[in-house]
Amino acid sequence: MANIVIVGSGFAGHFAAMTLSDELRRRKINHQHSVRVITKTPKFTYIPSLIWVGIGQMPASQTQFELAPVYKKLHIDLTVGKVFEVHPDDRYVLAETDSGQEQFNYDYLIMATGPFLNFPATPGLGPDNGYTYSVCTPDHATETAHAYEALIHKLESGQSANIVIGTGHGTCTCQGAALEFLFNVHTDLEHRGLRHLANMTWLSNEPKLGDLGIGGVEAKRNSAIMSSEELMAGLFEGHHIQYQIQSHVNQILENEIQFETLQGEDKTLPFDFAMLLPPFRGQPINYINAAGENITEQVCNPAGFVKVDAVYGKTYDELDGPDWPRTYQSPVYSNIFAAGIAFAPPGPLSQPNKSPKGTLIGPAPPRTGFTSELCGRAAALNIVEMIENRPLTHSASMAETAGICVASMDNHMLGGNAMVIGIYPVARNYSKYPDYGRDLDASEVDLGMAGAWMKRGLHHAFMYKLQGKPLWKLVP
Amino acid sequence: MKYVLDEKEKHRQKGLFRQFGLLSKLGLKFMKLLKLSH
Repeated sequence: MANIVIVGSGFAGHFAAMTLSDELRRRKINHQHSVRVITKTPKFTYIPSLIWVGIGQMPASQTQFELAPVYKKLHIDLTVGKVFEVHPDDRYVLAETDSGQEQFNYDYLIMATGPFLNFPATPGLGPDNGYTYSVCTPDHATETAHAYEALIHKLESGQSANIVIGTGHGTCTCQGAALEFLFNVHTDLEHRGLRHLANMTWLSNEPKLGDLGIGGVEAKRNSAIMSSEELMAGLFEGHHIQYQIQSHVNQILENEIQFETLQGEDKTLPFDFAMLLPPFRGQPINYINAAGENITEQVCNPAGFVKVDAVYGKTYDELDGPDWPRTYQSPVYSNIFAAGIAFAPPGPLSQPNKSPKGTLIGPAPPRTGFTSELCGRAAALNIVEMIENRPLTHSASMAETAGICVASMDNHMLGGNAMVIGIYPVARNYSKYPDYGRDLDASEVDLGMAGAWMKRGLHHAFMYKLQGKPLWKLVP
Repeated sequence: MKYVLDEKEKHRQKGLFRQFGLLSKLGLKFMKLLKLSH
């Protein structure tokens, strides 16, 4: 009998658990093996909708569901606890639960922990110990909604305000989420007739506008090629949003953001309301060998993400499609996999740069949402292969799979808007597509109310699917 | 290619019948991308 343990219940972990449950049942071997999810929170959160929570358009409860009844239905064991150590030689993890410290043995392990939100990387960043807001967690997004409501009252009294939204460090990722929040704030203020009182600025570490942490997007539009840089520049100009890119925030005071530009200049931005994303790190989990030695540096990269079957050590210019991981198996311990944000990417998707002072300013590669789901699925199916002593055949390389993103701009069914982005593949693969590294015919960039419909539809579809409701597998 | 958010483009993004067409186009495109990814 195999014990399969999954650490984390976000997109990657939860989808891995559902895939395992389904595949083991399909092969009629589910009673021979066990699947356990160890997660810090008893609820699943549909993070893409937290931007709407942040502007008070949706309560956090509508983005969440209890995991226990879902896992009971799917015959998955659930432990609510925080894993702090992995002992890969002896095949167990240690977790802090309500019962104290508990040990969970495993034969196969999937690390799907998601990111550690590294707010401490920038002094003054974040709602807990700083002056800015966040939409990264339900609690943060709910707090942001209260602050946004206070901002609205201020504007309604006739006062003006400086609003800054973007990334709070030079190495942040998930620019897409911050952009969604930016545009939703813009359109919400427009609907309220208050936009003229708000001075809005996009502050980010992107090397160019519309980079989104993925090196931008190009897609064919009729016979022309449109880039996300051109699209974003037009949107910002049309919506009167200022922008400051190529920037690393190094400190935040009560009403001032201090940042360094790629040119090495130290600048400031005043703010009355700011939502800045934090940089990510791997979760603070130590790997201990049989001799009691800390081997985290062997298993993880310096940022704490778990190394997998990628080619590490290449520069941005050397990196290409075949260097991206396919099976998500650890090269150190063959029975450990990492999926979603937990895996260590071989490098950035976006041009990294350094200021004359040596400050790294460049987005880390996003690997959320659809990519996370594909990773989790591949890791789960590869474990089933291993259980049955077969070679690993399931692949979900970011250089061979699509990226699909619907970026909300206005959450109304009539009159709303969203930017719809499809790219293939996510990680540019010049070996296969010499010109742009991507298939421009397969890629897509467009805007419109239909996008808003899709965004809302995706919310309901995923909330349905991820609760394992009838015919859930029909939802792609 | 310069993207200009003028009134014509704003209308394009919100015209109801045009959006049903866009929804169909996007749906087909996404099904293709999903198929490429699995």
